[in-house]
Amino acid sequence: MDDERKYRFSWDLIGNIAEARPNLGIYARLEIYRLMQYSFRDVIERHVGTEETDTIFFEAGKLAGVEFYRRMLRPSDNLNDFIRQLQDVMKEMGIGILRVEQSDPGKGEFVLTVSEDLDCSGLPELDHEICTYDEGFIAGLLESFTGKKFDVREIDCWCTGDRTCRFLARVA
Amino acid sequence: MTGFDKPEYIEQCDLLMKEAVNLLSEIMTAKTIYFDISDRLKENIEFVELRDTLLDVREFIMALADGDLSRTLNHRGYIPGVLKGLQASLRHLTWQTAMIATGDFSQRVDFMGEFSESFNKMVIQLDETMQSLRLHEKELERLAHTDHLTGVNNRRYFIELLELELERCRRYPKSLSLLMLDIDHFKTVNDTYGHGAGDEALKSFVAMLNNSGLRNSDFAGRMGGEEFAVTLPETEMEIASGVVAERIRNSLEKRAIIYNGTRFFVTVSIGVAELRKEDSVQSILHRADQALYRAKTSGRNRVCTEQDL
Repeated sequence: MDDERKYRFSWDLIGNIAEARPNLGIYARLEIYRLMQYSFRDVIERHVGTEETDTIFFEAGKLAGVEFYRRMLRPSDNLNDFIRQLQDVMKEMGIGILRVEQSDPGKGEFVLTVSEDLDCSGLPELDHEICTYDEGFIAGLLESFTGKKFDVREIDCWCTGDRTCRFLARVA
Repeated sequence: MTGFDKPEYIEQCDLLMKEAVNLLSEIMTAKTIYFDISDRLKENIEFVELRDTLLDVREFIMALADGDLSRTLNHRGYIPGVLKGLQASLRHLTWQTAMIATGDFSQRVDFMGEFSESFNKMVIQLDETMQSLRLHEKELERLAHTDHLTGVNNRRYFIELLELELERCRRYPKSLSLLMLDIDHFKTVNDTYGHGAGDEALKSFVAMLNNSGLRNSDFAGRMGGEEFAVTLPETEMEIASGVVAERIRNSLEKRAIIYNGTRFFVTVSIGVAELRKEDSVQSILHRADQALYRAKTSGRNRVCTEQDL
């Protein structure tokens, strides 16, 4: 099965954007990113159901988190350095404003918030948290940094009436 | 349908409205809530929900004002969202302050207006002060350990280092040799050319010592006056006396010292001792001293070992 795969992730697939878009540059409007994400959600949900869709988005987020860590962050064994790098690159790339509310590396527990989140800021109020991709992304990042598996759950979300998304991450 | 005629109905509505306004007003203004809701108002579920939400928001705000950041607010909407945003910012600030307390001065606040600016200035100032204190501390430590004229270790620190080295040799038996060095006829240098020339001779001797091929693990100290010592870890007597000490003696002999336009030469006598199993700092220093005495009494500008005694 693995040998037959057509879509295995590679940074090569992202392409050389700067070179390819001399006029338009490296940025596109956020609506387009969301258009793709929410149309994916719609179609995938119709094919496999809500729960499976959430699992797919979580796993995709986790893969992205692991790859992002490898590609964008300098290896470090210092938590503060890791957080600082992550804050800087997330802000610079317009992913969101990351803040730490609580960190207990000994217990393996973190509470993180992401304001102006790429996926959900400005969405209408819904009756459920929506940032499953972000949950996976954070899990992938923390796993890459600590070497341990993490359960990440969104406990507050723009979609449930909050102005910031709050994530509770615990070693699995 | 209501059991009231029209004026009475209007009057009842008016009363209910007044009760509702008083109740909401009490939530906004009173320090303590005493108002009990009437059965008739309780029938209005939307009003009761609004009142409960406002009471929860009020409690949340009061907790925030008391510095309690642990509360949860399970309501949606703009005001609860803004309050939770504020709580998130304050929690992050608390975490940042805790990180600063552990020495991470890279933390900066960027979400609290003028406060951020002052806070960040304070952190930068704290960082600079800590750096300067650390430099100061290092400098004080250096001054406490070194001889101010020549820059080599002073006697006290040399002995401390030697003690550590002997402990290491006790744990992992290895050879060690000690040189005691004394500049010959130093009093004559002072008497002939002045004390400035004597100081220059000492500085020149140390400069020569530093360039005499000593390894990083070797260390020297000024034991007093014109007397110096050099510890040579993992060096046997034969190498210490025949190679290292001879090289030092020979280099100094040829080194011209220039002071106030006057050129003169000095020589050095050296005594060498090798570490024995039962040695203490005092005993090895004593034997090296005796060897030095032998070098002095047998003509100066020479190297003698404890075996020559």
